[in-house]
Amino acid sequence: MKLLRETKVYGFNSTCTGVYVGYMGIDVVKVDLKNGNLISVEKYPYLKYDEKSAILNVIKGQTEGRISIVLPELTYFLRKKNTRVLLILMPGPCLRPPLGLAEKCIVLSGYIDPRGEILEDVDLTHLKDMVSEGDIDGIAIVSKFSIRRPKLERDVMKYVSQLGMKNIVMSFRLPYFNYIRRSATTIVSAKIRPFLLEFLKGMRKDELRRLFLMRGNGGAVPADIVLEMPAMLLGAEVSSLTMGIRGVMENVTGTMINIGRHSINIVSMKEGKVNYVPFHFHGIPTFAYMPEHRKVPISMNCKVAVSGDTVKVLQEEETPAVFGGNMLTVLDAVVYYLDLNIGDRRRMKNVINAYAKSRGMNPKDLAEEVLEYVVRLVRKELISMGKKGPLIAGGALSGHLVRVLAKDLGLQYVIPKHHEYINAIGAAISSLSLEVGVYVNTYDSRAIFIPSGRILKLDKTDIGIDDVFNMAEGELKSIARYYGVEEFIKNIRIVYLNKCSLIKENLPQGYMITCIIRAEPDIMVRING
Amino acid sequence: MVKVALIYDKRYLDYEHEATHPERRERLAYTMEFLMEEGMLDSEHVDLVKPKSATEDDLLRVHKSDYIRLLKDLDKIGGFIDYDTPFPEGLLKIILLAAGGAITAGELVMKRLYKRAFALIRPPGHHAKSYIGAGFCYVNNMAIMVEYLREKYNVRRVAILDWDAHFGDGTYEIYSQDPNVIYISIHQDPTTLYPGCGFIHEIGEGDARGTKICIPVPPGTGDKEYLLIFERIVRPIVKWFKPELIAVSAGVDCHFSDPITHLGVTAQGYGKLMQKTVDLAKDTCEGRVVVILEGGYSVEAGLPYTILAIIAALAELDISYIREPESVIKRYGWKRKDNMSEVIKIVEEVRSLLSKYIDAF
Repeated sequence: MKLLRETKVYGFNSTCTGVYVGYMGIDVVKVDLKNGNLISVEKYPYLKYDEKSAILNVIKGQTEGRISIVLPELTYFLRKKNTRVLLILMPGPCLRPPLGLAEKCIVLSGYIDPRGEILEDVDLTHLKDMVSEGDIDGIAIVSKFSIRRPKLERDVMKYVSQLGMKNIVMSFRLPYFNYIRRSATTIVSAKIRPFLLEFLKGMRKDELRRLFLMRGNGGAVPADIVLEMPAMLLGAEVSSLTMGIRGVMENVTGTMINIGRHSINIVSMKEGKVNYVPFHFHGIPTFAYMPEHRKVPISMNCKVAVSGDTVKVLQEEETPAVFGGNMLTVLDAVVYYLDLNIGDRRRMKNVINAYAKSRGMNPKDLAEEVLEYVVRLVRKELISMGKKGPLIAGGALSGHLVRVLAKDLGLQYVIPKHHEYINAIGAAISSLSLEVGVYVNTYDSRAIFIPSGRILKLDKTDIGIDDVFNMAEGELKSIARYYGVEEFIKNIRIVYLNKCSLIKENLPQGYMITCIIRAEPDIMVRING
Repeated sequence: MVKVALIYDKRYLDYEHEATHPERRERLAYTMEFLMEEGMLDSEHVDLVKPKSATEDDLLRVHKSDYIRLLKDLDKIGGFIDYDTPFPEGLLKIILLAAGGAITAGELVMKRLYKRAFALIRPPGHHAKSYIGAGFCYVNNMAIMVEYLREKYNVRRVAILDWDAHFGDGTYEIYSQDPNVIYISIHQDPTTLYPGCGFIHEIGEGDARGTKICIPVPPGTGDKEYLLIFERIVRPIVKWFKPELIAVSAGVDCHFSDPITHLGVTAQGYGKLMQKTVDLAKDTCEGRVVVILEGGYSVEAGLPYTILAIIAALAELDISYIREPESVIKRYGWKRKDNMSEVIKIVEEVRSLLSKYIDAF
């Protein structure tokens, strides 16, 4: 990753393409951010395209402007795929370190103190054996105070790279104090990074440079920056929904229901705002924030099982018959029941007829029971959330679900305009969200920039808090400029600012100043029409 | 799981005497960054609590009205209490916030919202007497907290353990005639350190004789000796006294890296002392412990590690991994000495003297 203060500027192109990788296909919307006009809407159903080729097709078809993608639920990937991670910790003097967070863990010597001085060097002696055992797929490297000096993490990174490891994440990319939370976030990142690497494979550098991914916090981030800490993408499906709703409705209050690719998501919104909460990993909060939401862990791709008179939806996914599969899924039942014109209807009818016949049922009744099963689960969640209306539909089929549920619970409902591709709209109109940390030590005459880890030799020592804030803001803007999205920064918030004197041998030697800022996520524009 | 209330406010960093004054803002700023990085402030074991501000009435329970008037005057124009204790303009609000921090800690524990509370405050307080401040202290945070709890919560018997390297002459003076407050101070030999008092024979006055215990230790004294003193003197006295609350004046300047004292306690030693205090509190007062930060001036090498150890021990967490960085041990480790035989003599002398007044041994 290069985060340079470059002057090469792509220039602001007001067109932004939002892409949502959904369960029926890929939604693509193009928005003019100057006026909120929806330029085009396209859907790439999975019957005609596989996921990867559809996305590549979109990217190659958009020769200018930003492309912002909502990846499929990474929490699902995290749950289902067992990426085995080795956590390499350099905690120094501490409480009991979090050894049980990853599949394997090793504590190395090596300690960086709060002022960024290396007080104990790293000893790599035992690392080779641990890495060479071949039972790990990724490495998370965490040293305490690495955001003040990433050197130890980089030394370890260099060493394990030489041993042939490719999937490596270093914690200093997160400009936050709390090495326990950094550890959890870094491990999660190492677990989902193979998915992201696979996704980005085959893309050219210039394509990558225009490619943004939706974060769980509602902002968009350049793909090659988030590749260093992919945990930030967790919850993007839900955050794109909330940003999309904000883009089409003003100050909305209600409960949004969105049928996601791997689950049905329910989110409360009050006056256009949602509550963001950290994703927890093994009980430890990470730095990956996402809208607070409930999940019903079934999706349109879930398999239907019929035993005697009982219809059940299993938490097991299959390709729906409408998209070429052989098993009956929730989507097939929905398409049949609502008589929707989606995919290979003939194949779907054959499958549902065969299921119904073997159980002595009418296919319509079978489809209705599947729907009722789904409705029951969602209704239960809504009741436990206090039945807060109106219900708001987000996503292609959620309109149907919301109508049934609203009637059932006696609530009002809203089907917003463009709800069929609301996530793609959310991705298109989201502003840049990126954290930058700068740590200045005037005694050492150096400044460290996070997440790049760039070290700048300072030529003056009379540096104050305002100067360091300006450095952080400059860094943030230069990153945005490099990716051609300086105009996509809406608000910059100071997350942390502190200045301490450095005293040595009872003499003042200078200052250490830390400034952490964040480009806050927001919508760039409301959608017209 | 035991939860600790950590009382802290950013405004404690809002004043500075000179950059090189030992009692400087970095004591807390640096420590808080260390605790943040350690994950303590997000931990399920610690709640960060904002202090309330003490009122003039709170101060008047302990301090003379003439002295309060002096503080108010100094607040307008700035000045000095003594050479070591400058008074920058506008300091009074921070003094009240520090005293309020101590009150908040005590109140949370007496309300049974927390079993343990740590007031991470500055300026410190244990040298402040009823009529004057001294030694970086302006008002006596500990006494203000104790008197508040006595009035509002009807607390009658309090045991104050003072671990600061310096004798808490202010707290001693305030309670010297009060038999319902036990004050036990372990400090560096006063012939070698400020304030120059706190000798074994200083045991309180009148009815309170035997309830003020001074245990001066020679320079270089470290963990083993402190733990012995705890077992041989502190534990029996507190058990005999049966307090309703144990309050600790936790100076962390006994750490071997402290630049203005000469003792040899480690971060691990502080943790063990606090573990013993917690055990003692469980035996005597339902586990209630309130800790108030006093001194401690080793900003980089001592405070972060000792305060982490104290909080961890209060929360009953594993402290076995807590240590100083190797470079700190290399640089300052020489200050630690084996004073065991000398300390045993001091312990016996203290026990023998106190036996005349209290029935603790």
